[in-house]
Amino acid sequence: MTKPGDRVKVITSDQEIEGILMPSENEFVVLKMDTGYNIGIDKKRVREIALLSHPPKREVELPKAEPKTGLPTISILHTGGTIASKVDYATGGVIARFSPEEILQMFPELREIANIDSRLIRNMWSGDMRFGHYNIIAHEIKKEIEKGAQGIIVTHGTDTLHYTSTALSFILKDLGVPVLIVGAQRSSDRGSSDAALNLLSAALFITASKSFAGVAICMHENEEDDNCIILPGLNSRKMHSSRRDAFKAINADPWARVNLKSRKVNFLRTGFPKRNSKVPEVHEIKENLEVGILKAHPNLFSDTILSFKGYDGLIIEGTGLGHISIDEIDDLTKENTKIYSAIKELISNEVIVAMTTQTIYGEVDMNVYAYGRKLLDIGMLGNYCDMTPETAFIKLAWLLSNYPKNKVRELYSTNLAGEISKRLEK
Amino acid sequence: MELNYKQLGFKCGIEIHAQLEGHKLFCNCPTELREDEPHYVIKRNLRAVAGESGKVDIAAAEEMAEAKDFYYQGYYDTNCLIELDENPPNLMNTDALKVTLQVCKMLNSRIVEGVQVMRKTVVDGSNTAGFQRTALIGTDGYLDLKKTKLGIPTIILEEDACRNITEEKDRVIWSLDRLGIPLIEIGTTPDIKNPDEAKEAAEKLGMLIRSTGKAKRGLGTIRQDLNVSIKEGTRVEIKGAQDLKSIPKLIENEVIRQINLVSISKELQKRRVKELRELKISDVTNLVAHCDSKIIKQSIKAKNKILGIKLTGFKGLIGKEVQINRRLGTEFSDRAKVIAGVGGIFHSDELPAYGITLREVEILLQDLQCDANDAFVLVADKRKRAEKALSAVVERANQSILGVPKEVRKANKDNTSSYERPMPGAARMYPETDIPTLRITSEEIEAIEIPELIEDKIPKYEKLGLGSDLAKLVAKSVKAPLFDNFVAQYPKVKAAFIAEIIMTMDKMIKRQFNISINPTEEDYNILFGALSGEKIPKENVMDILKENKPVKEIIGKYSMMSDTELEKEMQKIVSEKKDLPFNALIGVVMKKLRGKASGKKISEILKKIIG
Repeated sequence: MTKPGDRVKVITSDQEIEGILMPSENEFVVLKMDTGYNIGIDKKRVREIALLSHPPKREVELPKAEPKTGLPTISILHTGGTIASKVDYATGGVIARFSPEEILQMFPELREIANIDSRLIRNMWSGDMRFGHYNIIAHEIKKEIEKGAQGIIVTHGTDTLHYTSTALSFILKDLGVPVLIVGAQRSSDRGSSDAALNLLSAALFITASKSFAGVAICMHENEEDDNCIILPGLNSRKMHSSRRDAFKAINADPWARVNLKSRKVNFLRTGFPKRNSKVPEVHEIKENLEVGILKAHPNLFSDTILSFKGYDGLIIEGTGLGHISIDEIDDLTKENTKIYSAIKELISNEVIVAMTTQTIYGEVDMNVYAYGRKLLDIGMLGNYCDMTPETAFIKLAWLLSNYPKNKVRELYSTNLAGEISKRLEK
Repeated sequence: MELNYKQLGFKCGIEIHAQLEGHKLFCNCPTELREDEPHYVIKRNLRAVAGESGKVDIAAAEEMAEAKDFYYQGYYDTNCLIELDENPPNLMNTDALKVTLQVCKMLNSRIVEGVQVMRKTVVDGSNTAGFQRTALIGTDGYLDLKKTKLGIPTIILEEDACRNITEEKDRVIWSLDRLGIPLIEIGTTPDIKNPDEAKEAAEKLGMLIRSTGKAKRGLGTIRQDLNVSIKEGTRVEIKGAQDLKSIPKLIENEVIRQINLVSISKELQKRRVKELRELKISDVTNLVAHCDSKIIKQSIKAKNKILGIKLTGFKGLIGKEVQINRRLGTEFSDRAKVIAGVGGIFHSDELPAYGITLREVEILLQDLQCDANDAFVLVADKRKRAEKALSAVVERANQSILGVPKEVRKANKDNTSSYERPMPGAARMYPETDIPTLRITSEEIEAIEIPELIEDKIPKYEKLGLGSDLAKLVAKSVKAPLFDNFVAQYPKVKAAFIAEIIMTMDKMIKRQFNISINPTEEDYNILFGALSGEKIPKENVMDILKENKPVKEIIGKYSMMSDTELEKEMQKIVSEKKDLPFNALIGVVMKKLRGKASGKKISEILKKIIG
């Protein structure tokens, strides 16, 4: 049997091609030629794949990651994503690397910043995460703090990174160290990857900012490889599908700017939680909780709303100041009356329903127009809140996991940790 | 020097890169090179991707710390997030792929059925991603030359790199305009038999690609790399031969270079010179501090050091010419310049000179403990840089004991070459995971038509009555298909006149009237239609085009008069100027009726009137 990495000869009806066998792809046998190029050969035409030789063993002994005295310890917890992967040029496969030695090999500059501990807790796409994963990460963070880590870096896929940063902000009570969630928009196999600057800047921020505690995000500030920005864990969002500077603070200012080259951390605002030596408590989000998000849009149907019947909570991404189509003004808008009754039905069935805005930026204000008031009348939450829909979603789930419903209604619109602005700055 | 290439064991293969028209290979940006001020500049760094050699920590970290900053100039209207490496690539440009498939067919290649785009690691900053996207499309082809059937093992479609604007010690400025232009790369086997055959191969490959009508034209759109070796030498790659004429000379000069380097190596071996393993660098600043050399004086003023090193057994050889006006010492100096960034070196074979006296040379020889057969090299610069330069010199000197070093060289204007970089190892390539493997079916291959070759078009056009220069001009032009269409559509208009109008009239109008015209296909169609139906005389064509307006709007006023109208007009003139002789009369009539009828017609009617 031949397997990827073997040197083989592929024999077809009219051709014999030598090369390194790669993992096959759909209808193709893939071969890496001596020129370095891969070609696909139609499986149907392949008569035989003859083994020529097995790949030579290549094991590189990595030096032990000996701690240096005088440097703080940072624990890096990996949840997957592209930040810590490298390419095996022989097979073209991407291998993930997570041991401290391997991390130091990939990012040798870390040695000068801190002593590194590094562990894989899950290897997954961030898009696949469920509430249970937030609890696992929180418990692992707690463990690292108990072991004496002065700061934590969580590497994370970028798609739902801001949900995780919000979840950890609520789950970890009395967090006394900085927890930096770091992702990469360009994978580590390429020279242009943003992973190194993001990771190193996060480490530098942890060591250079002596007093900051709490959950924050560290990513590129703009398209250049100069500055990283430290964004508030509760008020940030992925605002671009592909750019390095995809993450932006929403309705809030970033905490700080980090310039790795000059080793400078500039705080852009104060008021962050301070470090302490407490071990945080973990207040989990219930894994089996059902909370949904519904986007208001033209031509909505009431069945869509009713599909959330039986849920614990629902976040509506309303239009504008926080609206959804509930007014019947002519024959064409009869469905809107049904939508209004459907929302009323959910609320009377003990589903907590809260309004946010799909404009992302800005605050919900349901008092400006009459139909906003109609929503308030039936118990819609979220008025005067400027949480992103994602933050609202996680907050609601966390409240529902830890408080009785009457308390949830009260706390939802109360600023607990910085998720709702006290003043609406420009 | 008369060279017997067969006896020398000459081997030569070429690689041709040709840019294609249309849009970029992995995005929809145009392939326009720009001279205006860039709209933005983005600063980036590239990291050495970790884990390759097992080389760890400090060395790697130091390397990264020394890495250059890259500045990318871009334009909002012709560059996008894909060139900036801020967005995954689109699927491969199908037009460019089609042209490549045509070229594959023209070169009898086997077309790859599952095309996988690869990422080829490039760390000099010329690609924002840190890699170049490249795909093997055709294998096992051949090209028939006059005397040789030359193998074409690979035909590749890839993206061009950024255009280099400037390069300084710690930063490089690149333009994004060239990044991503589709590039066909054709490589030959090393079976070219002599320098002239290399030119023949390059010319023919260029002609084949241009015959598709989709190749870009102009300086830098086709680039040739030459791989040359002789039996006792080594494969050396020469980059940047931009014109065909220089190819034989570049190759000949490289062969001469290898012959000379081999003879130097034999002499060094005869002298039993051993590789220098230890760098014994001496600071000779004080010994030459008072010499008249401008370079040394400036250096001392800048508080730099003058460092020297002995090269045992090299006396007389560093000064030996290896190519016209280039000595072994020039090759030492090239290395020092490229690797350490110094201005140059002094070596004892060229001294006393440059303000360094015999007396000073003697002191240096003594201080560096040189014996009769020994030579020395000096470098003036900051200590660290001068040390790096001398270490590069020693490395090159060691290589000359063995013969010809394997390296990439760049073509100079005088057809010699100079050191560019070491020969890269096997390219580090891995799949571009953002683009699925592309299937090319036999039906698709079947449907690809081989275009008529330029070399076949030229005699065809000559038969249509075009002069040989005009025939060549049309055949090589992207307008050839347009010309073919017009010729087929307007058989009453002379083909040579069509060719003149679409190929040269714009230049004539520019020269005579300083007006730049850019007629559309529709303009030409209306014009040729009118010529064909004899609605306008051909004398009017230039006047119509030079108005630089849509032809359909203005053609009316250039229309010819009917025969009756003409006769009426002429009757009038004749009755007014009865007394004039015929020749003078025809002059008056012509002047009056110019553009309203052909000269022939006017003369005919006039003759009729006068009887």
